[in-house]
Amino acid sequence: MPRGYAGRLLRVDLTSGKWKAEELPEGMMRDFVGGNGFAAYIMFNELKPGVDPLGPDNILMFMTGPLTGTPFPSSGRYAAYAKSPLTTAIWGEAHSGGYWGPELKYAGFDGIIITGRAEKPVYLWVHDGEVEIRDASHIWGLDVFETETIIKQELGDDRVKVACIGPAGEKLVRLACIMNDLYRAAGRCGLGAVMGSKKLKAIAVRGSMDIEVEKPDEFMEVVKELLDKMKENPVTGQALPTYGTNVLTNIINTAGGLPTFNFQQGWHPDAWLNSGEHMRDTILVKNRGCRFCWIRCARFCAVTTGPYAGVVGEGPEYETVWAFGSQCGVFRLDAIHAANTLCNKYGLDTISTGNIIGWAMELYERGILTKEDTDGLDLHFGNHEAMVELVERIALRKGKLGDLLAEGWHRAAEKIGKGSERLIMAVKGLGLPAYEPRAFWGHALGYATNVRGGCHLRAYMIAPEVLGVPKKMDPLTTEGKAEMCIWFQNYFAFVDSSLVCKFVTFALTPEDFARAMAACTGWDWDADKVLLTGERIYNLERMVQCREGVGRKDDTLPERFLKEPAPVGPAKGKVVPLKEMLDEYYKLRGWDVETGIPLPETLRRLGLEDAAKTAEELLKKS
Amino acid sequence: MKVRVRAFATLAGLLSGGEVELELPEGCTIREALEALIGRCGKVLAQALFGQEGRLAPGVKVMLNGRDIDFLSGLNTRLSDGDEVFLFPPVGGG
Amino acid sequence: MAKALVVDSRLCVGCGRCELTCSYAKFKVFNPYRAAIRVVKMEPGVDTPIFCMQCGACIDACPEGALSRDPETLVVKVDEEKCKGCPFCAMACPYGAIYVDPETGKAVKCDYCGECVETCPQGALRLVEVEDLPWFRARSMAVAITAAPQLARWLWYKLP
Repeated sequence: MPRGYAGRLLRVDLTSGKWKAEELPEGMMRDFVGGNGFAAYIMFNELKPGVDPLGPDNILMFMTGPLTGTPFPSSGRYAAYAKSPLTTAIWGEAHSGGYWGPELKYAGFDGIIITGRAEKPVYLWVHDGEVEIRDASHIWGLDVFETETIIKQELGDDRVKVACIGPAGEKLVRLACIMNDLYRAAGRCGLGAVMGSKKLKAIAVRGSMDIEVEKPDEFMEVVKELLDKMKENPVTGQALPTYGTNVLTNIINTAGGLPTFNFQQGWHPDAWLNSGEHMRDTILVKNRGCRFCWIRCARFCAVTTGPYAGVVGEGPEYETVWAFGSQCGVFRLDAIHAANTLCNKYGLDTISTGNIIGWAMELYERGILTKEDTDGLDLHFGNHEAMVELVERIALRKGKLGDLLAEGWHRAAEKIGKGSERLIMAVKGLGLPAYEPRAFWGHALGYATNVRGGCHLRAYMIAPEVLGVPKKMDPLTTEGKAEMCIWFQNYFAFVDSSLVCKFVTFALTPEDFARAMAACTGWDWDADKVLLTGERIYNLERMVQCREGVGRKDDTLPERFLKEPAPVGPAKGKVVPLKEMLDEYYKLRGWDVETGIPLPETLRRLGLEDAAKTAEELLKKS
Repeated sequence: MKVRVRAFATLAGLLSGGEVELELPEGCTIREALEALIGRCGKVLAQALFGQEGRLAPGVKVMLNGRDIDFLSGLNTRLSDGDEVFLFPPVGGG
Repeated sequence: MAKALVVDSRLCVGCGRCELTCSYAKFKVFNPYRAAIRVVKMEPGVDTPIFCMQCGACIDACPEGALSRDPETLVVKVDEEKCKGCPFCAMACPYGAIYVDPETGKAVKCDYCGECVETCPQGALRLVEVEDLPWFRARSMAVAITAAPQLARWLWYKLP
C-alpha cells in the first residue's frame, strides 16, 4: 500500500511455530505512526504487567516507520522493543542503523511481533511476504560474524540482511544486545537476552518489493530541500562525516562533562588521546554510513601496530570510546577498538559493558572487590588488558566476576554488598552514558526522566547545552530545562516512530518532518501535530512503566551527582539541583507531582482513554 | 600574561599545529586575544571567526576554561594568566 | 556534448542513495533492487557502485534488436516496444549492469541521466564530458585491480 508503509505487521509465535501477517489498521498509522508508537500501543494493550522478561510471555518487537527506506535523509534504521531484563524501567527499547531496517519493509512488513519461546534454537527467514522458521541449532553458540556469514551462505544470497544475537544473548547476559549487519547494535536494555530467552538466534530478511508514498513528486521536492539543509548544516555536513560522533570527546571534556573513573570526575588531561581528531591521525581508515544516510558518521578503523594489531571493523563511536576509555581510565584508541570489536563479536552493549567495568574498577580500587573476587584480574583504572579480558568474560559468563557482572549492576551489587550499590552509575538500572550530569543539568534531568532509564537519547539535552540547537542554554542553570527536555522527548518520540536517524534533527525541525509526512502519507501533518503525536506516544510509554510501579521514586540520579560536588573542571563544586527541575517537569507534563504518574486529564487530552483509566486506578492506590 | 588558544575539529587547521600560546597585556578581553591571534594567523582565521558587524560567526563556540563565553561576558570577558581559550565548530553526536 | 557517469570508488561508503534515487527516476517507486546502479559491499570495508559502461556487448546479444547506441549521447538505449525480456542481454553483460525488471518485463540499464550524482553524500559520482572520460575509466580500472592490495596495505602495513 502507499503512504510509505509496507502495510502489514508480522506476528510470530515461537511456542506454536506459527506466523501470520496482519493488515495495519489506519487508526494505528494516524495516531501512533510507527516505531515507538506501534511498540507502545502493543506493549500497553498486549503485554501483561508482571511477566518475567526472560520468560515466554515477554513480547519482542522489531519496528520500522513510514519514512524508513524512503529517500528521506538517513532513513535506514529500525528499533527493537521488549520488557527489559536489565532495568527496572520496564520499557526496553534500542535503535540501530545499518541495512536491516529498510530491508524488512522491502520484504513486505513494517514490523515483527514475536511471542512465546521456541523449544530448540531457530531463526526467522523473511522474504517478500513469506516467512520460514528455520532450525538454528547449527549456528547456536557461534559469534555474530560467523552467524551472519553462515546464514548468507545457507540462503545463497549475500544481499540478505541479518539481525542476530551472539553468545552473550544466548547465555542470557543482561547486557546483551541485538546486532545487525555485523557492526551495528540495537544496544541498550538487554534486548539480546530477551531474544536469547526465546531461543531465537537471528532474523534474516531479504526484500524486493516497492515502497510507495502518496505524493511521490511532492515528497521528492521536500526531500531535496531537506538534503540541502543537511548539506549546509555544519554538524551533519562537516563535523559528523569527518570526525564521527567521536568529535564530541574534546568538547565534552573541555566542558567538564567527560565521565572519568566511573563518574568520579568529568575531565582528564589525556582525553585528547581518545578524540575523533586523534582517531583520524591514527586508526581511522574511512567513514561509512547506514543505508540511505546523508550524514555517514560511522567510522571504519584498523589497528595496525602494537598489542592489538589486527583489530578491524566499524566503530568505535563516541559512547564506546568513552565506555572503554575515560570511564575505565584508559586513554588509548587501540584498546578501545579491541573492546568494541569484542562487543560486536559477542553481542554486548558497549555502553553498559564499559560502564559496568568502570564500576568494578572503582570497587576494586576501594578494596570492595579483591583479586580473589576478580578471578585474578588487576582491575585498576587504566589497566586496558584487564578491561579487554573482562569484556570477553562478561560476554561468555566466564569466571566468578564475569558471571556476576553479566547480571547487571543491581543484581551484582546484591551479591557483592559492602556499599557497592552506592557507586552504581545508573538510573532505573540502565548504566549512564558519556555525559557527566553535574556538568549538564538539563541532560541530567533527561537521565532521570527518560523512559528507558539512564538514557541520553530520548532527550538529547547536549544539543541546547553544548551545541546551541534549537537554542543555546547554559548547562549550569535550571531555567527552562524542564520545558526543553519535554520538547525534545516529544519531538524525538515522533522521530523514533517515523523511524529515521535522530541525527537529522541537528538540521531538521518538526516542520520539516510534517512536510515530509504529509507528502508520504497523504494525511494532514503540521509541526504542532508532530509534537502532539510525540507527546501521546511518550505518555503511553510512560504508562507502560507506571502500571508496573515506576514513578517519581525512580526518576532520580545516583547520590554522587546529588550530594558530591564535582571535583575538577568548569562544573567544579556543583551538584545537580534535580528536585526543582523535576517538580517543574511534572507540572509542565501534566503529571502528578508526587507520584510522577500521568494525570488522567492529560491522557484523555491525548486520546488515550484506556491509559487514563489505568492512571485513575494507580492514583487512587497511591 | 600567557593565554593558551586551541582550535578543534574542522577549525584545527586554522591555527598552526592547532594550538597557539599568546603573550598578552593584563586584563585583555577575549576579543583582543582573538584579534592578536588573527594578527598571527592571518585573514582565513578572521573570516572563520568573525561574521557581520564584528560579532562571532554563528558556527564558532568559544570556551574559556570550559565555559561558553556567551554565559560569561561574551567577547568582552576579561582574561587572566594561564587561561585556556578553546575554539569549537558546531558539533553533535550521540 | 555526450556525458558519461563516473565514480571514484575510494569515496563510496555503500549507502545506496544512488539506487533509491534511480528507482524513483525510472519507476517512481523506492526500491533499491529496481535501479540501474547497484551498490556492492564486501566486508571488511569495501564499497562501490556498479553501472553500465556502455560497452555495447548487449547490442549484438539482443535477438529483437531492442538495444542500440544513440548517435548523439553515445549511450546504449532500450527500445521498450521491441524488448521481450528474454534476457540475452543480461547473459552478455560482463558488468551485471543490465537486467530484466520483474514488474515491467523490460530490460533496465543506466543511461547516464545523472539523477544519482547529486544524491551521493560523498560526491563519489560525477557526470563528465566524454573527452575527459578515459582518465576516469583508467582510474576506476586501477582501483578495481589494486583494491584488494590497497586495502591490505591500509590494514596491515603503515608506510614508514
